[in-house]
Amino acid sequence: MKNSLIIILAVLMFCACNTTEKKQGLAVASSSELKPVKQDSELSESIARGESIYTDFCMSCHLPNGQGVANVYPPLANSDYLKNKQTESIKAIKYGLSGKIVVNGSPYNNVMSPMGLEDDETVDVMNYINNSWGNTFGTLITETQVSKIEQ
Amino acid sequence: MNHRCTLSVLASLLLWSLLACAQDKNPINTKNSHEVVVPDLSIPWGFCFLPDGAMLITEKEGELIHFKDGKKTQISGIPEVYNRGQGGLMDIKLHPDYKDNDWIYLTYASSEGEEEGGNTALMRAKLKDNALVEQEILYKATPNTTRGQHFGSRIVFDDDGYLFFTIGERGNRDENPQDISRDGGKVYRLNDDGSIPDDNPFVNTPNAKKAIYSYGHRNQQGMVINPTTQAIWAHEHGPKGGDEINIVEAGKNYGWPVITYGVNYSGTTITDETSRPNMAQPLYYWVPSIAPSGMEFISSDVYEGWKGNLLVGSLKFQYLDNCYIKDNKVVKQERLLDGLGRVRSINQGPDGFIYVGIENLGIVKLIQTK
Repeated sequence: MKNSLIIILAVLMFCACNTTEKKQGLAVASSSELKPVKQDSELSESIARGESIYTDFCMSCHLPNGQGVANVYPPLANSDYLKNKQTESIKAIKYGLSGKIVVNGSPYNNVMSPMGLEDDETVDVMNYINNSWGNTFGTLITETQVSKIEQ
Repeated sequence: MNHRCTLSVLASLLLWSLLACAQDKNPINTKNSHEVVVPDLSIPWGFCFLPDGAMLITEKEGELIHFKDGKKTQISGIPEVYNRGQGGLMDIKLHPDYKDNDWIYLTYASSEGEEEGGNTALMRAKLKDNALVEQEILYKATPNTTRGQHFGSRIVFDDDGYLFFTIGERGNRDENPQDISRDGGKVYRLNDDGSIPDDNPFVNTPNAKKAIYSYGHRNQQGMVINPTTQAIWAHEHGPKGGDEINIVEAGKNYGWPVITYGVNYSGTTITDETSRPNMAQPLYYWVPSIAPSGMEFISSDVYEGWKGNLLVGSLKFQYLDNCYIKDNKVVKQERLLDGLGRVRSINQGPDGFIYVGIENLGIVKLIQTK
């Protein structure tokens, strides 16, 4: 009984994924560890570009695994801040962030300078961090969305 | 209950191992405090003291601030800054004869040139009516790149009046640091007017950038003259582990990325080699990395027992590293201003006190307590 329920659920989820292409933020560990599930190509290409932006601009502080450094650089992996505050997160990448924020219950009080990224680069890195290290946050971030966010 | 016990033991083991990985072991010195001298700064990348007691402070985002008697004034006419990644408005230094010639030296990330992106530039200029005038670009590294890392940018003058400044390898470790025909990953030496000294080490080497003084560096955000020996001391960011202090000497190769005590951020190996006969060894290296920025020797008598100590800022662990030096070796380290914030810049003031630029806080005066 239990087993058949699981199978039905799985089939339903598979169908749902197929019918809502381009909307779902699929769970992708990193571009090099893609799961054998059907990928949304727009999202997965954005994630792949985002990985190189991440390596270039973010990794030295937030680290390759997105864990950050305790009390200094907040985590991105499994971060309630990133999950619940998508607009604020985009704003932080575009315009920088300073002052106290609380991430997963811990306070962080520091400065992240504006990274100087173009809007399309911000899109890519957001899609990367939203869909890496087990994160499945939000839907596909678009350039229109990012360009509308003001300081 | 048993289950819960096991879980909490596992959790604390995990926490302990995370903390052990993240922290270094330098003890906290509790006999120090601070006084905020310049409040409300974001990233005070560099600062210096004018003869009348005022300070000039660079904010990375591209502001030059004049601070006197508690009042901040924005300096206008600063060069356009390529504010991307680690690049922005960086260091500031007065000419040793500033009183006579008024020259101020600045480093910044500049997009001048044909390629997209930016690279480190060195400028000298004068201050007049709160504006930066008579601007002369003395050096601009090429090519531009959109990479966000490793602009170097510290400036120092030696006793003979030569100007030294650093440019990091701009995120191109496989091409720049070991190639003296390319900019990046170098310490440079110039005359105060930007001309190349006749006795620079590669002045007669075909295709070499003639301003290069030493090479094989990664990203040097601290450089200072040792007041006792007059040698140039610089530190640089390693990757994961392998931050170094080096004594910079003419023509030497400091090895990045052929030799290093660090590994890739992901933990994978860069090289097995930590030494080669033709490459200089660091005077000291940090594992784990502290992410050093700012560097100063204490030459005044203000701090009991600390004269001759080397101070290095830690961005990552947010403290001022008090390094005791003996025979050109770091023999002891302790944390000052522990947890106050990311330490970006350090200078000894005309009063002999140490002033420290801390991100999201300001410039603080280091005070020794009983």
